Amino acid sequence: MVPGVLPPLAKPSVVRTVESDEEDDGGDDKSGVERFLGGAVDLSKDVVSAGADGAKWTGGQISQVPGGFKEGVEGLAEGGATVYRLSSINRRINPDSHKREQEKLRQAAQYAWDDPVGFGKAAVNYEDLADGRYGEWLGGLGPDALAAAATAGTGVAVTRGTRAVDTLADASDAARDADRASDAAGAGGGSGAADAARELDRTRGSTRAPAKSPEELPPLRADERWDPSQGTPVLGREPDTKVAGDWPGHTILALDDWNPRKNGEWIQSIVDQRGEVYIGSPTKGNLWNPKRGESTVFARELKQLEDAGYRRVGDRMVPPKR
Amino acid sequence: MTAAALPEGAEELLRKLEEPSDGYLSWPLPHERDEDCVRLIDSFLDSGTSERRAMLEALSLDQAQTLGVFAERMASHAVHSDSTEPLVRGLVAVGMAAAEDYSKELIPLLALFWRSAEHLTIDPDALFATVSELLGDEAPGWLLSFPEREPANRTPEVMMYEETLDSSELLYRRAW
Repeated sequence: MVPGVLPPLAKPSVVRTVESDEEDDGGDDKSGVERFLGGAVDLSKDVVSAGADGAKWTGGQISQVPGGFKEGVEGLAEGGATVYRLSSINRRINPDSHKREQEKLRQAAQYAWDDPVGFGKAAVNYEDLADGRYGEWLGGLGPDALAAAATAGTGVAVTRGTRAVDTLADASDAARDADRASDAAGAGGGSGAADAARELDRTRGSTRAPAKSPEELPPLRADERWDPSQGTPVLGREPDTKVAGDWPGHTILALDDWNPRKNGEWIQSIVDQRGEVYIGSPTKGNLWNPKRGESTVFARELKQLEDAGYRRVGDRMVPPKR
Repeated sequence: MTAAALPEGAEELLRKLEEPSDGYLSWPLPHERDEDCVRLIDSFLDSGTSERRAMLEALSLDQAQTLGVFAERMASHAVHSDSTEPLVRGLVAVGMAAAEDYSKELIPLLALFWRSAEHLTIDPDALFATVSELLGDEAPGWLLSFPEREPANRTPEVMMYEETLDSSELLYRRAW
């Protein structure tokens, strides 16, 4: 093989495999992602001269090889990132992301081809293997291998990933799920969202990645507490309470800076003043969100009142007798 | 009649969203159901004012909850895929869901989009302005005014979400 020249169709076949995924989502039994992953393993087996038994490669290693290109550089190793971004469903939902990931992969493959020795050494991590630290070797494999590719010619310092790797089953399951999803018809239209996203992408770099955010929560101000002069407080979904909120003597919490804590404090201010509450929504179907597998905010509001001794009387929650 | 004004194919798309999806929030990312939501949202965005209104009027609480969960998933998906499109569609989904779901379920999601925009280093203000424009008359007031909040009052933490950066699944989880 001649360094600097990508191979035609024989191994290593990473580039060809991924490109062919564009045209063929299921020409053989393997998914496009799986075929790609197979290509990544084959490539590495070709360039690693010793110590890297192909049978020991796990899904985590495999998925981190190309996906770790960015993560390796930034120290943000994420198992499965490549499976994720190269998945057929991501191609449909998110074509730009899919293309970018393909390009990263192409670059990594090119580097690995141009400098198989450097790539292979980075992939092996002989020290960990020699000491039996397989976990560390596995965890560091993807980022290191990609770091070798990413730093070629740039001199960027890269640390090895320390994140525990996933299992082979995880990777193949993810690939299967992704491919199964791709059987669905393609998303159509949506030029509005895509165009808007492209415009927004022009602002990339204008915002810094978030630092640790402040933990302090602004409390409910005194003038935001419920007061009997405001009328009967109303709880429930807007489609149900819109009318009630307009009734004379009724009020809905409408804060520009609403947050869950303030909501709890507002309800507590009702409890403190023994206010009656009008329940604007039926409880049936409104207490549990099956999509989330969680109680709704409405249910939590009712529970807060019940915990304070309130009981339901018709459409109202009334405070306990003194 | 409302149904007559629905854009072509919207009825089928809405019906798709009614298919069982218990626990959708924790389904693998991305998922086929996400595509169903994407199609519905794109259909909404491609429609005129009266058709949009008809779609929102036809929306059930069940479908609105699906859109809300889709939105929450997209806040993470955008970061995983390093892409802005899921943020745009997800935030549009929040606006659509507001037609039927409790705003107190949806307002907390806005903070996730703000944070994810920061992760992508795009301008969160511009994201909200863009989506407000896309939603037009259907944009809820609490979405329009979200960028005007104090910075401390638009974080996932203030909305009682925990952020986990070491996951390939959901980045944000409710902690209440």
